[in-house]
Amino acid sequence: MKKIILMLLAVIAMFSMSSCSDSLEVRDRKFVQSAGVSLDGKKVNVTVRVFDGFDETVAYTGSGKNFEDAIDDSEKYQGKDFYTGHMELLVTDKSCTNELLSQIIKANVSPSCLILDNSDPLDYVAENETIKIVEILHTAVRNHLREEKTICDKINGR
Amino acid sequence: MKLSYGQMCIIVLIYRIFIIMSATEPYCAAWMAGSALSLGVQFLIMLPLLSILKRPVEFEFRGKKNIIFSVFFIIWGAVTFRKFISVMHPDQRSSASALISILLLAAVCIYCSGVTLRAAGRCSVIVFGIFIFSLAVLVLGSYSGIKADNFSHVSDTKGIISYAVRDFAQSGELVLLFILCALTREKAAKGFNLYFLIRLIITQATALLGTLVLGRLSYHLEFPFFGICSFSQPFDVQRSDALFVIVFSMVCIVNLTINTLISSEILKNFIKKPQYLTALLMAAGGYILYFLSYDTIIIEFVLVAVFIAASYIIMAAGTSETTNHPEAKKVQE
Repeated sequence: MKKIILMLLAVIAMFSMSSCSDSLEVRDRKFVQSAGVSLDGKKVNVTVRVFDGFDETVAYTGSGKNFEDAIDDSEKYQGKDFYTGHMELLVTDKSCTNELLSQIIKANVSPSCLILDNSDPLDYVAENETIKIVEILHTAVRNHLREEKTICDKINGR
Repeated sequence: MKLSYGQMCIIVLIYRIFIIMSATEPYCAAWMAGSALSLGVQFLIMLPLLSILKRPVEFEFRGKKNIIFSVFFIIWGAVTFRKFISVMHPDQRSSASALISILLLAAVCIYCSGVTLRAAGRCSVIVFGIFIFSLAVLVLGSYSGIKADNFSHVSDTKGIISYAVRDFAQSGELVLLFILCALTREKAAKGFNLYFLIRLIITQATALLGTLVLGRLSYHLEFPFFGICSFSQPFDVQRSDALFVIVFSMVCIVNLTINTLISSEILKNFIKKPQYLTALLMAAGGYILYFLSYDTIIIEFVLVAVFIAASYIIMAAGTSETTNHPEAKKVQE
């Protein structure tokens, strides 16, 4: 009986101690809602829209030799880390390659993140609220005006 | 130390679940065919074990010849440690985090190996149940992403035989099957058959889900299983990969604990407190392997093949000794 209790305690400890050693508090992070990405030769330019307070969002820009470096560059004008794991929308243009999408996936963006094509993705994300764009997209999908497209669909050539 | 056939089957399945979750091969039709082919070959290779089990079999942990099993479990434990760190720390720059993970894992295994095999069997059943529940959450969350034409989008870069060889090389649990079948109270053959059947179902179902959901995306992922997890969103803006990180840790701990437990039972007559030596050797081996970047598949293939052959020799010799034992002869008469 004692051993069973101790084993259960060990399982509870595993649940509570998993992935906590170098994690950040929620208040030390900003959650990325959407990102506009464009390739300029070998340079990756991004504009990210992040939550800032209760219903406010702010856009930041950055560039780097890959997507992760570009996100790190966009963080530098404010004090918190950007977390892309819950990103809802990715806006890209014709310069977007599968290799860039692969970098984006490796930066912890979900493959089920919606993707939208636009000729100027950086300005599009800087000027528009993500929630509004996502709602419009979902309405269009429900009304069969367009198909829902994710990063996974783009890599699979849809 | 006796197990029920269900516990025996599940302990061996836990080893396979670890391999499924830490697999690096992209999901495709050739992967599915290769793993099914490999499973068929393994089933045929292991069939003679059933006829050995028909005779009275007693697995004696104290036998000197069983040290070979101990050696195998230490090596296999090192391979398991390496796979665990590769999944948790894909960036080799974080070697300090990897070392801390290994030491914590080794400490948990040393503690857990103090229980009996039966308790470990019960624990395996709980962990297996949690995995099946998590799999259901995974399917629920990724169901909307299933696209039938993804099956035709994936091109097979390696042949079926290549995938079959890789699958065989990762089947170290077959050596464990020898010992656990001998330690099963009754209906060991039922547990044996159940293991191969459930393994086929889980492997093929996971690969099919991965192919239909990820398609070509699995070629861009280091660990495609976790790719399905990051795709799966059972609730809005809620990914299921955190759940699977926990499940993966639990599966790894059960895996390593069984290795430590069996290995230290065998070494008990030769070394004091062998669980410390066993766990530390596995951890050290895993840490070294983590920094060796070359593919060890061929070495693993040879290791599994050699130890299966050695296990047959030991078990066959063991049953002939038991069969010729005066007590066994009385039972047979």
